Amino acid sequence: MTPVTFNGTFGWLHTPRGGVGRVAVLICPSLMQDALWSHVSLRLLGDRLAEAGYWALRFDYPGTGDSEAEGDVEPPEGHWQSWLNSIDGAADWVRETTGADEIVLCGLRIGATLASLVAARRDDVAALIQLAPVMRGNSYVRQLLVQAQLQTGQPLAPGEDLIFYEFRFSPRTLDEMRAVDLRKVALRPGQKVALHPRADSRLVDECLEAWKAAGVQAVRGPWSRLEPMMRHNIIEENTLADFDGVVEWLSKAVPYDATHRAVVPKSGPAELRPHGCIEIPMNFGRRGRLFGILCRPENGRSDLVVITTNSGRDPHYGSCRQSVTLSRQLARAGIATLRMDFAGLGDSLGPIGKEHLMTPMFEQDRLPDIKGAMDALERLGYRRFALQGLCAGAYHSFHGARSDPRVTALMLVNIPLFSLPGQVVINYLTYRGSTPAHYINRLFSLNGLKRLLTGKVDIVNLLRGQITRVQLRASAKVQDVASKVGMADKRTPVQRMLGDLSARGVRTLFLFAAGQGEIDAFAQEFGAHDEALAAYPGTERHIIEHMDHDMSHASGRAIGQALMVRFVAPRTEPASVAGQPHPSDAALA
Amino acid sequence: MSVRQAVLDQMRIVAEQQRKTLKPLADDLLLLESGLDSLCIAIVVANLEDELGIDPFAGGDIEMPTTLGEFIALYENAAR
Repeated sequence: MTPVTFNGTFGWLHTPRGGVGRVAVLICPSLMQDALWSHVSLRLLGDRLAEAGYWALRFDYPGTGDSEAEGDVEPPEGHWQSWLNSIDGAADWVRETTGADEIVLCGLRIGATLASLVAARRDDVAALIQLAPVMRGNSYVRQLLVQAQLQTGQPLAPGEDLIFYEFRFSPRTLDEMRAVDLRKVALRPGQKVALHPRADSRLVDECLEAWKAAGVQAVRGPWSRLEPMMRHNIIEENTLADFDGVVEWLSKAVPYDATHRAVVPKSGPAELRPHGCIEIPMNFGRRGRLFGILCRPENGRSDLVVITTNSGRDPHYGSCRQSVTLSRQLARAGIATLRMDFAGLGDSLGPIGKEHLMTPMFEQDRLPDIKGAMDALERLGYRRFALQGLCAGAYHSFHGARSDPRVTALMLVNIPLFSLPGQVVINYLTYRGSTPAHYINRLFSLNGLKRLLTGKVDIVNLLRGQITRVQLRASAKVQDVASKVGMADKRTPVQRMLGDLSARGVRTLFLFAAGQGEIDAFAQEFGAHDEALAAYPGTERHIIEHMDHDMSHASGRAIGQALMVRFVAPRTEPASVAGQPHPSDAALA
Repeated sequence: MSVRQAVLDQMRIVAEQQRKTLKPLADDLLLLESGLDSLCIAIVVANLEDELGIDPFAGGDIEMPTTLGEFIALYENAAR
């Protein structure tokens, strides 16, 4: 697959066998969490389509993923229209670039809804594949509003913009989304449609009936093998969708024709130019299997580069595009960033033979990936490196800094632990927060016993979590006693790790969301008060109100990012863009 | 099917889809302690609108119910 840019959009072009093909499939992603969770599955769909003889283009709508536009500023035509137009633009681009003369639109969730509207207004869309489409825009907007209200505690006032995740939606855009009803979309007679609903529903039945009555060749496709791409799966390895059924239908509905030969002009080098930045995709690491986007200042040049890492299993752009926003803020302050994917996540390939699996969040060794990134950046002239991560990304960044003397700064958001507990980490993190007494009390309630006896309590992992918790506390006690009698270093192993980094001159910024369990884990190691960090020069900690674990709340995210920009790009940084306000000014005002 | 049953069914369907473990569904159960997070609850609301044709939040400025009983009552009242 090849990274491509067009119309300010970032995408991936998957090339069919032999480099020829008359049919191009546009993969129209969903938004927000749906997009994050399905990212790798859709990458594999692109590969699968290419193996089957089709061009496949994955791309980011304006204001999403790696695309140039910002999501928190609506374009003049509004987000909804700009997304529809971007699908038109992508279809025109892929036809011009590949020589394909027929288009298939394949959309997931709200992407399927957008794809349907575009399919109805173009005359070159031979087929439409809808994966769990949003049938009615009104209910989708309701979902966004309810989720936003649950996050903020306040309903949206009439006439107000909805600020949610990375977006600002105007009332006009919300109304345009509400107005959509797939049952009323006038697809062309003869157009072929495969609708894969996530669940049976009256709306799906009515939609298929309406389309068939209008002469559309619409069928209902199976869903069960596609379900993995809709789940926030952070544990299992085999968590990707199986698209065999989708490709099988497509190969009969719109055969690819291996004899079709077209003159294929090469597209230019991929590059994006958001305000104040230049962004280029990079492959690096062993056999170029790792991927990232280098975002550098348009003017000026520092030898410092920040490497941002995956949060959990999210792709490199991060929840709410937080890594994109941070990268661009840093570039405007004169600092380059590489937002990268670890092996087996996002757009980085996993170990050979395991390309169809996602790598574990914590247990996978990420040091080779971090080293690969730094080696590649060093070849570009960078000499100082900062690592940034959230949750699992923070854990790997911490150990990346320990293992490589080139790292001079760390920015760790909501780091949940500093060493692996000897069991599946997620299970440990789930159950460590409560004491054994808590679980015993719950067990000796009628409901607790019932849940235990009917298998609704994950007793094995609960016990493992508690045993590990007890072991760690016992170990800490032994360490404490041993150090008091002079038999051991007074510091715990984690304290020694941070002490070594500090002694080496590494500056470390810890950011925590208020009220989350990570603060307790940090306090167990370093104390609850900032005075304890005086023993680690160059280390600071901030607890941010209204910031959640994933930094999905806009206000908390803005403050967290401003603190990070200030940490690595203070005003005295010589390469800062002259005459421009510091990017952190507004958020920290 | 009653509105109550439809609400409970959607909660179970969404819990199954999102792999969440539901607590026993009693009227005094706090919604955000049911095992469903804000996304799941929002999906339940969207699905109920599609299936029942009821959107009790359409009037605007509706306070989010805190318990399951209040949530069900909101839908039952809107259905009348």
